[in-house]
Amino acid sequence: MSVLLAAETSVRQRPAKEVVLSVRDLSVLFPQGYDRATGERRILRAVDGVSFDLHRGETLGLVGESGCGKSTTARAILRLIGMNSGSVKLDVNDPKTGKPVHYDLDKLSGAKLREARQHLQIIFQDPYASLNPRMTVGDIIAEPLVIYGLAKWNERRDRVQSLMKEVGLDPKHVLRYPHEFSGGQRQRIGIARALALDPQVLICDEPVSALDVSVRSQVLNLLIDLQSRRGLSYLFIAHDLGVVKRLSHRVGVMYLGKLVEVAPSEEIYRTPKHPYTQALLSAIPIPDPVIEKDRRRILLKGDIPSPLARQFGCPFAPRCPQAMPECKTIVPRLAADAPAHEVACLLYPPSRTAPASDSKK
Amino acid sequence: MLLDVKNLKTHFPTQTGLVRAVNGIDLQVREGAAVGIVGESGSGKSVLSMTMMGLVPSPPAIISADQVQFEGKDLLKATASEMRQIRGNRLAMIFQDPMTSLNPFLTIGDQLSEPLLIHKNLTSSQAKKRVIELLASVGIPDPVARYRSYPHEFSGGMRQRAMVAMAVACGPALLIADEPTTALDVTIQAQILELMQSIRQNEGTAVILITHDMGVAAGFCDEIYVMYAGRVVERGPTERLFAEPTHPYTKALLSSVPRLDDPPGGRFRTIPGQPPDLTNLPVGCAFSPRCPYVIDTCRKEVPPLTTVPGESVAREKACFVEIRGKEAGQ
Repeated sequence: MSVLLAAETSVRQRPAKEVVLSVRDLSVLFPQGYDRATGERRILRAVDGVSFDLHRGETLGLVGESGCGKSTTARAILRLIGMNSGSVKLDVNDPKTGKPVHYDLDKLSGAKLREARQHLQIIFQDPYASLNPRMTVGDIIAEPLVIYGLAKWNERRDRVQSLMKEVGLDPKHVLRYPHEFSGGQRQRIGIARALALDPQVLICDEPVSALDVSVRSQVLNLLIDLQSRRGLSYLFIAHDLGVVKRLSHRVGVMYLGKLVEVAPSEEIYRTPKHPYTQALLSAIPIPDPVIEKDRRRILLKGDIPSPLARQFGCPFAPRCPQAMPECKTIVPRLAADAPAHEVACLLYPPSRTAPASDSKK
Repeated sequence: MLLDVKNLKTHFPTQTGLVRAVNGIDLQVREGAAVGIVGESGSGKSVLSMTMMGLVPSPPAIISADQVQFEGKDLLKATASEMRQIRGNRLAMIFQDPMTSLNPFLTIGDQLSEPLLIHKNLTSSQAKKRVIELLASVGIPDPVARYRSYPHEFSGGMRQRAMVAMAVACGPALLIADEPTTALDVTIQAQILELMQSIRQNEGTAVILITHDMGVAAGFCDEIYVMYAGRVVERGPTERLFAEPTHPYTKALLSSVPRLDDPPGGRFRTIPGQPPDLTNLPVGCAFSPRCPYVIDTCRKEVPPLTTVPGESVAREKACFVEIRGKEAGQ
């Protein structure tokens, strides 16, 4: 396929091994009342013991189907919803002094939490719902600066204009309202707002899912440019694995609230280890009829079980084509089966070992 | 020819001007064929299918066509009661959103029985027996118990299976599936596409698959129509169209889709500019403002859909420029 327009295909630089965001055993449970028959408490395990590290300048893709807990993970990291257990640590450099600062996000509250959030911002999925329709673009982008008292009003105008330029919006449109922009442009407004505080980590929660293919690429290229210019780290949540593969250095696959596999992007697509990852990858259509004709799909039986149901063993066992009897009793642990390739499946011996405390460094 | 549409137009008068949602489309579907209609949002794919089903109220819409011939009958000239005889019987549709296109107040059994009672004059007990067979054939476990379930008791994938079962209940000659898997997860999408493929093979039902996903179209369809701003810009057999697109839009669309077999890293290929405003289409070719191959003629005349020369298969494109083997900007 020929190259349309300038499309560099150089592999982006690998990020440094410096951890900026560290998540350990994160769990988010939603109580759902009581079971009428048994009187037992019903609990929805949205996120169930998720651990990962995000390095400086790295993009970590988080993929999985709806209801697997990717968005809940993002929101819990930001403390937009409460977490039930686990720890989230943020290690950034203070933008003014350049000195390293450490935040235990799970323990903070009030002013201290707000201070930490300066460095950790989010881009939401739906550019139609995440911008206040009654505020001008300028006010939307300036709002974080106002809340944090970071710039006087006359400096704010310059900051807003330079942010608009940086994300590819015309600064002349500063007085326009969100409805006057297309979906792709609205997402640029959301990105400018997230960048207003000079964060070092951006959580992108399905930022391009609502956009058409032709516009989607423009926004993704913007994210790539911003990353190389500002050294940002991305936690990139998406269900489109084609996008995630291109954009991410590493990819984590979630199923029913658990991380089932984490590996470098290229490796997870070339040699997926977990049966769920294998099925997920084989289900994605490739826009090439010659390849599609000969492709063998791993068709999973049934649907994702309700996260309300009591789980024993591996959450994927009921649909797994390679399930063994012990999968219904032993919970597989996410452990490295190859260098930098972690998987939680009993087919791989490391997953059988008992969990050691904080063994994932 | 099962379906033969010539020069179909669906326009909507609005306060800001006339929206030319479908702007002169020819479409031919043979018995048993799988035809894909691909395009981005606003290209007119859904309005095209709704118009063929007679589901676009006119007025307000202004619908015109030289013909919309289906099984020897012109659908645009059919009366309301004639349309009711055809719809759900010979011509059926699967809608995009299985969450909102089933009636939440009726059981799955009642909803699936309806077309059988109306079109096939079955008794209610015959219909029930047939519905249970249908539910089993689309892979719904325990169909006898599920007959009495309500839609909210079904998952998204099961609801879409029920929609498929309802659409094929009367053995239609043509099934129009409007983004049938867009609301579903990929592993469920694979199940539904497999189900539709097996219905096509076993029953000989022709399928029009409307999708924005080039991957889904590549795997399912024999022939593809690419739509842009209410027009067909290119049509041809799937393999040739993907291997060597002849319209700049098709080429740009194909190269901007991130593929699973692409290497990681690197920038995404884009199509510059924005999709056109349907109330204010550019003069000439609607793609000309975004097209890297644009020549002066493109900005003056609308290119007609013409046969592509030098092909062993029947292909058509609406473009003045020969782009095969050429890079952009030459």
